[in-house]
Amino acid sequence: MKISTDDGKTKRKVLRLMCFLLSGLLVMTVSAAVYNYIYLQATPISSQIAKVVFANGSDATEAGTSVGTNGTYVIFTSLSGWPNATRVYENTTVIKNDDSASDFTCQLNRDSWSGDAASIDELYVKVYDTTDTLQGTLDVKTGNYTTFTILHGEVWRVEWRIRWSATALSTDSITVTLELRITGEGTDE
Amino acid sequence: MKLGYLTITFLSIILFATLLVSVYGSIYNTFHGQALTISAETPKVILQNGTVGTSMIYTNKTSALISVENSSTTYDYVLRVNNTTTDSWQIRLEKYSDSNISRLQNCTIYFHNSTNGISNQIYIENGSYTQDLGPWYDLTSLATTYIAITVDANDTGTSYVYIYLEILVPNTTTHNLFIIVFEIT
Repeated sequence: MKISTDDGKTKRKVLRLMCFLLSGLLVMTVSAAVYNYIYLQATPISSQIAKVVFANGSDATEAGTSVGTNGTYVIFTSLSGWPNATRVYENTTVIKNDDSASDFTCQLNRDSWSGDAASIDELYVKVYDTTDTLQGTLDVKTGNYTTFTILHGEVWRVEWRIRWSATALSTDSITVTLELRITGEGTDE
Repeated sequence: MKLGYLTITFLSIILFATLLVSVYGSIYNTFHGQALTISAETPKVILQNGTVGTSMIYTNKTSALISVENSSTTYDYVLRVNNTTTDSWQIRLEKYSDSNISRLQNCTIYFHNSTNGISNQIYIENGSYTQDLGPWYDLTSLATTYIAITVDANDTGTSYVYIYLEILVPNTTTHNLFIIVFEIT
């Protein structure tokens, strides 16, 4: 049987195309990921009573202090100041270490602030221990954090110190959110 | 051969360091405190000029510079403190800095008004403080308190006494600080 020259060319073309497709399929196959599943299981994730908590200080009424459920959150709604004068709230809230044995390292950070920040000359949050010794100062303007270790069973006071500039207006205001990071609590459960 | 050992050692160090980083971790809890909002408000207590000496009251009437001369006399009204509201306050003076006070033989800064009488706040005798923090003095609803000073110096020069006027919300530890500078020539 005689095969025409045209048929032979067509077959070669088809053969080449099939080889190309096969190569593509092989490339696709080998580029696929090979993986195994392994599992992490957390059971149970329990809720614990916080050992370091906030509570009202003696200036809570003036500062508008409100401590959240379980003492893990605090909000101040009445902090204010007069222009070109320093307002000091010596005891807005207290930080209590309710643990009978462990001391905890805390880091106080500025999380955010907004508003008429340019009109504030000074804004400090200071932490004093039971002997009224200064243990940490957070400069809210610069955001420089402070670290301190609260001893077991102690109650430390938190002071806010506010100074508006001489040109501040009575409409000026700012909002500040701070973060207290407590390291080590929960590791001995 | 040596190159082989070196390579193994180098790789071991890298592996060890990587493992160390991998096992490092920390557990912490994060609490939040929010001040919502911190506002500037019109001063409820203000400073006003006196009738003797020279007084400079600054913007918002919350700080002042008082200038007096050595005269062995009493400047009985160099500055006044006005309560512009019906709120009650307590006030006192506290020294926080000074310069060239060794020439001051006798210097007393005090409050007075017709209701509460005299309250000595700051004493300097023979160039040293015998009292640098005064007792609390009531500043009642819409009341005015006067600040007076007596000066006796034994030398020429200029002395400065830097003072806070503390204005306390009664029964709290919330207070305001005004800066008052006394310039004594």
